[in-house]
Amino acid sequence: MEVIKNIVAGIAILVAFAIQPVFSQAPSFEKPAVQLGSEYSVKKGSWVPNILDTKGEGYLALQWSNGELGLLRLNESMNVTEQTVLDLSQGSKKKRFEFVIRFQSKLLLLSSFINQKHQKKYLFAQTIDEEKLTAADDTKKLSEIFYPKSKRNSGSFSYDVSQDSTKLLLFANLPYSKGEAERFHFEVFDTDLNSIWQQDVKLPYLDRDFSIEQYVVDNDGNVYVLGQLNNNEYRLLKYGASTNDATDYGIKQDGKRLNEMRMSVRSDGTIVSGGFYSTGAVNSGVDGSFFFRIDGKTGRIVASSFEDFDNDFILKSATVAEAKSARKKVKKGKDLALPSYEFRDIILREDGGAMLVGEQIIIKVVTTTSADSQGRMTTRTTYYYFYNDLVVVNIAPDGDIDWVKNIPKEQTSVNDGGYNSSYSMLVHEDKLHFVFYNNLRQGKSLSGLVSVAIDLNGEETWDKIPETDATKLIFRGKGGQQVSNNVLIMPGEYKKQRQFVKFTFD
Amino acid sequence: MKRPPFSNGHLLVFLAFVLHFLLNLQNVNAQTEIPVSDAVKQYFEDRKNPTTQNMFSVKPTLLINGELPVFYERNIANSLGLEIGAGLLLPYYLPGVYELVGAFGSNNEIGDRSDELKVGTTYWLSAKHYLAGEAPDGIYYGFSYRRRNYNLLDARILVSEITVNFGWNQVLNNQIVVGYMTGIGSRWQKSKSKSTSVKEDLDGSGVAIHLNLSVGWLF
Repeated sequence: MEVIKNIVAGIAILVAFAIQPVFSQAPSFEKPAVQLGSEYSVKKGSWVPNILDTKGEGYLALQWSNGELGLLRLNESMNVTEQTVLDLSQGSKKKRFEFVIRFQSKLLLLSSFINQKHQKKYLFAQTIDEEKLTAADDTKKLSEIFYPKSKRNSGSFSYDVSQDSTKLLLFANLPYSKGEAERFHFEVFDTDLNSIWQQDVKLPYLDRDFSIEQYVVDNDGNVYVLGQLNNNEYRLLKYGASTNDATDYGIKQDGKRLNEMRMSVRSDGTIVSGGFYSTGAVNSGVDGSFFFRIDGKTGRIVASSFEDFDNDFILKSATVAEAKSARKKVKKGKDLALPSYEFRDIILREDGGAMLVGEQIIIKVVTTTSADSQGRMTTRTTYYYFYNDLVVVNIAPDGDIDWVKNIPKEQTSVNDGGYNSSYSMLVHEDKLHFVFYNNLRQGKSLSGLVSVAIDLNGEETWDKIPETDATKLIFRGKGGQQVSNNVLIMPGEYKKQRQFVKFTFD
Repeated sequence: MKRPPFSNGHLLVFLAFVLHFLLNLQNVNAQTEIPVSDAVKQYFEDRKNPTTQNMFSVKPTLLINGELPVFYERNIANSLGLEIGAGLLLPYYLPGVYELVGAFGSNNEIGDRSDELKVGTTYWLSAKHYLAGEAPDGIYYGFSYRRRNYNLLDARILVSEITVNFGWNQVLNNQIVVGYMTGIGSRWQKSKSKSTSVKEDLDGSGVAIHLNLSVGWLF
């Protein structure tokens, strides 16, 4: 979700740069400039959920440490120059941290408080003073939801910011009971955090049948909710800011089961969405990718395209073991499918096209039972996390799928939820840049941290980042964030040591 | 020879515990509170305001011991609760349970003279540190002093206990509090009787163990 938000911010970058002239130029693949900061010590378990640009020089990073939320100031050399603790107390009470948002020029700290007497969960905003690195004394209540007596399913807040950064959507999943209709609440705010409009929604679908996948606010304050009904049909719900009306569109394709769908709304109200589809049974794997352009006013699909992944393409991303059985299937004339792909990012281009990014994520659970010398049985469950290849799909301005590229990658970890795996991405000019740890499938010279760039023509280049080889610290693939036009920062950690690395792409 | 109520080792552990408790208490009081602006004050006013939090409670499990006290707890800070209790010792007991508990060296203070029991009195004083800072809700640790006065036909037994306790209170429906508490410490008893042999028989010390369920009412 965070990555998607960064990418949405990155759209401004694409707008700022003329894309068309780049088509005629030979692709240039400059290796990123790497700046590795000094290591610093923290208490064990500290981690960095956010890295942000700031008004002055350098950058800010949020850091959880020992149950406290702190703010770090990083200089351009990636050294920590200042560190404070954000106090979430309010009188004798303590608020709970929800998220930090860059909204217009303000940096907002959002936090919540459960008032058991009122049976309400309140959401508050206060600005962060970027000079002093403290939360200002301007706490304002933004929203509230019912908090049930039972603390289970107590509801949660999340947010989206419109592409032009003039609207803030607060979205609340409401507490529910089994067998009830799906319900949610949303509220849209202007740049001064004044409420523009809000709605409590009760859908005609049961909570267990409908899962909300994404919510977006457009520049006019309209709210779009994308959800999946009964695991076989997407519903796009639109709530009009000026008309207060609600429309519910079904998105379906005969013979193809759409999954991992994501959407984005262009400034003209056009909704673009993409994802993967399968034709076999549930969990049979991904057979191809799709793209829809939807008229935001009528809900009509105005352009659509589907691209089957051919067997050669699927074989490229198979591991050695998988490839063996896959080749046997091909010999028998069977079609292959990519297993366990998750849709990760959708990047809109100014020319009307888009790029989609997916990643193969496989979790294997192995339970072993053994007996000791005295015959006592011990059962152990081990979770293996495989973060494998990336798939990049390029959608032409007319909605056709231009090309599909596979970026090979192998990352394996055990019992850690894949904490350090996956990738960080930066959108700059006509290229996507991926930074991740690579195993040996691209050759030994490209093991370790690598940067992979891919342009609009599908040309790709790989660069090793040797600067990070000497350090013991591991830079979290999921933790990197695009903080400006061409800068990506990743946090690194090893035991109690922490470090930041900055990549500047030309 | 009678054992002293505390060995040096026990005393050191207990004093360390009390010191830790008091240091935590100092931290609680040292915290500076950020004032709540009037604009949002109302959203933070709930029942858990420490200046108004009071609780009456009973511990039904003490009835096994023939003990019937009523407790009053008040939180004097977000994390700190003080509890006092007083009540009666009823003239009955359940031998089977005594034997069971007696296996841990506890609650054998009246020996086999239960048929001589008359109504007595019991008093409790406890301090509790609540880890989540929402007294009296959540997990806590603390210590307590308990004194029971057993009246027999020809003697009076004074049983005193100091225990370190760990417990968990759960606030239901914003009003009812269900709690579980366990504690361990030292017990010593002294008898007052004209008969020296009775004194010899009843004076002593041992281990005190608490395993209690409580039900409280917030107001």
